[in-house]
Amino acid sequence: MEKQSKHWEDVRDLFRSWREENCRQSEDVVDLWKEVLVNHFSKLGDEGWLVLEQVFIAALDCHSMEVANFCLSKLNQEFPDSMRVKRLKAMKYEALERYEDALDILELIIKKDETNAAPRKRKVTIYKSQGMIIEAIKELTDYLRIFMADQEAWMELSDLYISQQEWNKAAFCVEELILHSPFNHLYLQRYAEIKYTQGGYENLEVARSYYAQAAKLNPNNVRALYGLLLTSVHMASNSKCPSQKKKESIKLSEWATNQLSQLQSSNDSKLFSSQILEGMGNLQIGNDSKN
Amino acid sequence: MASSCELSKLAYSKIILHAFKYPHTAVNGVLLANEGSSNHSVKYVDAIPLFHHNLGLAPMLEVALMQIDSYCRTAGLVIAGYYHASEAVAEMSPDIVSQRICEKIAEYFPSACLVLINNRQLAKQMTHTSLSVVQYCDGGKWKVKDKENFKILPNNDTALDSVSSLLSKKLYKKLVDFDDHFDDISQDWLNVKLKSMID
Repeated sequence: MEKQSKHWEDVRDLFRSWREENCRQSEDVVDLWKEVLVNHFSKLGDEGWLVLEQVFIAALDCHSMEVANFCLSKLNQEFPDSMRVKRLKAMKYEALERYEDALDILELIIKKDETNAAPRKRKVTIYKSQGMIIEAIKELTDYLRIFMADQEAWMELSDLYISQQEWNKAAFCVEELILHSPFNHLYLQRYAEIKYTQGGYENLEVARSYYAQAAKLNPNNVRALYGLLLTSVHMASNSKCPSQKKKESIKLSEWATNQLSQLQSSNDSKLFSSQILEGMGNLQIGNDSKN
Repeated sequence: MASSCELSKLAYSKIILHAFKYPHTAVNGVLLANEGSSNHSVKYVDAIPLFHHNLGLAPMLEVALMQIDSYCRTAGLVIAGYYHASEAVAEMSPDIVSQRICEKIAEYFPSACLVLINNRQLAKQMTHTSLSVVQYCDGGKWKVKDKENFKILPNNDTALDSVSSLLSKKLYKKLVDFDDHFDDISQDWLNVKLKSMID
C-alpha cells in the first residue's frame, strides 16, 4: 500500500467536492484528515467548520470516536448554542446506540424550531437503525406532509416501502420524484423496477415503457437496457400480448441487445445478452403473476 | 438433506470483503458449489457478490442470476446457496427477500443454505467467523445449522487470519459486485484478479 503525501490544499479541494456531491467516502475522509488536514486546520478559515462537520460524520461512520469527539468539541467551542451542532451531538448518540438520548436532543431542537427539517429526518434513521421500519415509515410520511419537496426523503420512503414489499406505495413515492424531475433517467428506471417486481401483465407493460424512456434519455444506463430487454422478451412471449406489441417488443429487445453489446465490446466478458435470452425462462424471481 | 456445509477460503473471503466494502447498506450474493454435489455435504467453492442497493427488486436480480447461471454451466458449477448481510447492525434473522431468493435456489439445489453475516462480530482483526447458516428444509421451514456442521476451509483459524490480512490491505475496495458492474460494465463481477490476490 503506497502512502502518497498529499498537499493539504488538494485534500481540502477533494473534501469540498465530496461535500458538494454528497459522497459517502467515510474511510478516506477520516484517513486523509488524520494524515494531512488536521495539521493544517488553522489555514482552512471558515471552511474549516464545514470540514469539521464532514469529518465528524465520517468518523461516526467509521466508529473513530476519538476523531469524532475532537471535531465535536471544536465545533461546540465555536458555536455553543447552535442547533446544528446539537444535531451532531444527537448523531453521536445514535452512533453509540444511545437512541433515547439522541431522541431527547432531537425533540428539543424540533420544539425550538418546527421548520427545522434535519432533526426530523434523524428521527427516521433512529427508527430504521433499530429495525422499526413501520415507525420509520410513519415518521417519514408525517415529515413529507410538511416538507413535500424533499426528494431525498421521497427516495428513502420508497426504499422503506420496497423493503416491506408495498409496491404501490413505493411506486407512488417514485411518481412524486418523477414529477419533480421528469428527465431523470434514474427515477424512471427505478419506477420500472418496482412495476416489474410487482408483477402482472399490465405492470410489465408499464415497466417496459419506463425502461424505454430511461434508455432513451441515457442509452448508457445499463440497468435500463437490461430492463428493456427483459420486459420486451417477457411481453413478446406472453399470450396476452397483441401481435403488434409483440413485434414492437422484439424490435425493442433487439435494440437493447445491440446497445448492450456495444457497451460490452470493450469488456472481454463472454457473458452476452444472447445467453440471457437463452436462460430467460428459468429464473423468474418476481411475483408469479407474470401471465 | 446435507448434514455438513463447508465454505472455501475464497467464498468466505469474498463474503466478508463484500460486507466491508459496503458497511452502511445490506449486501447479498450467491454461493456456488461444484456440479453434482451430493446431498450429504455441500462445499461452497465460490461466492458471487450481487447487490448493495435495493435488494428487494426483481429485474436486476433476474439478469444477474441468468448471467451467473450461464457462467456456471461453462465452469461446471451450480448456484447452491445465498448470503446476506443486513443493513441494521442488530438484525439476525433472514428477511423475506432472502427467504424468497433462497427458496428459489432450493428448487434447483434442494440443500441450499442461507448464510447470514453477524454484523456485530465483524472486525478488522477477525476473531469469529461471523456467519450463521440456515438451511432450507422440505415444508418451507428454515433450520439453523449447528456450528459443528459448518466450517470454513482449510480451518476456521487459518481462514480468519487470511481474511484479516486482506482487510488490512483494504482489498475490499477492489471487490466488484453486480451493482458495480451495472454502474460500469467494464468491471468484472467474476473478480478474477481479486481471486489471485486471495489465493
